[in-house]
Amino acid sequence: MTPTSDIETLSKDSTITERLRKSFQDREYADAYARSALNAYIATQIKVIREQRGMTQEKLAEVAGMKQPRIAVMEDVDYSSWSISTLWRLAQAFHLRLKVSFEEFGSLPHEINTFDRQSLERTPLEDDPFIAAPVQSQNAEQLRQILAGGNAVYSALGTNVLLGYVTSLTGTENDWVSLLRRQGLIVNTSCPNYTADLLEDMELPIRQNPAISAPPIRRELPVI
Amino acid sequence: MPWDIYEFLDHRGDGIIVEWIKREKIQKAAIAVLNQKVDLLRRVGELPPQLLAGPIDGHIYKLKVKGRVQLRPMLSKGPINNDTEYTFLLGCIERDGELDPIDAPGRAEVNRKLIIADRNRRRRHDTDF
Repeated sequence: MTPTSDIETLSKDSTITERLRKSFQDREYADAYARSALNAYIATQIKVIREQRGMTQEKLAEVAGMKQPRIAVMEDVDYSSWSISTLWRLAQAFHLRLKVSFEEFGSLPHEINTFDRQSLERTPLEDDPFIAAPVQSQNAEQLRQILAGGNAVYSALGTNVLLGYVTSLTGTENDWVSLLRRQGLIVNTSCPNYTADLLEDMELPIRQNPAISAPPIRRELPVI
Repeated sequence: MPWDIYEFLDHRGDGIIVEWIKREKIQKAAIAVLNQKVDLLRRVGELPPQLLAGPIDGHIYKLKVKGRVQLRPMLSKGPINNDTEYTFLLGCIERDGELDPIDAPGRAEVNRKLIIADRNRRRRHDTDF
């Protein structure tokens, strides 16, 4: 598949958003659209996570205590007879929790615009970064000290040095985010790379972290 | 990666799906579901399971819209660029397992070939049906 450019994608996203803003003024239309989106979301996520685990429908059925045809029926965007208990059984088979939540219609365009395989995949409990082994406490302390230095340390060392330090702890620059998460310095960010956005995301959690008393890192940090 | 969605234009230059919706007086809720599925197709192609049925008759797929009336608009990948586009080719309804019109896949294939011969026989579909 040939990728469309980021600008084209953004343009299409805003087109869908504007269209839904208009269409959702009709309650009947909004209900039907949202119901269809829900069914499609669940069916697709079951398929995506099953494939992420390398499971066949037969294997998932065996683990969840169901029959394969039932899995096939649920892996259909038109299936709508969901029950919480069945979804729980699938969650257990995938080593995940189940979350059911009431939402505003206004959050649906974002869900449509971000819907893809990656956004539907989930990490099983045993690999969840939340419970994965923390980095060694000595390293954690060193990291705290560097981050606690705030702008002074950034100015003195430069961002590349800091990134190099993180890489030396984790083996790869890409572990930067997970390392900070494990230290409780980032609680939630959709930013997968160490960009200026990420540094902004760090600001609030760092300020709130009792382990750090120095002034917070500010937004005039260099853009990476 | 988003896909581009197109719609075949009939001999008057009208969108074939838009005209079919008007002609069949398709209800608002069914149109909403149709549009939701087109949005899915645009966003992730065939990732959602059972979104499309087919191919039937070589290149033709049915988009499945379940409801009081079973909408089955016919479409194909491409036909100009099979890796980035889908084109809706004909409106169709399924009643008791039978397509209406009964020769829908064949007619859709004719329209697909018309587009290959003349790309102006289709238009980009970025709005609601």
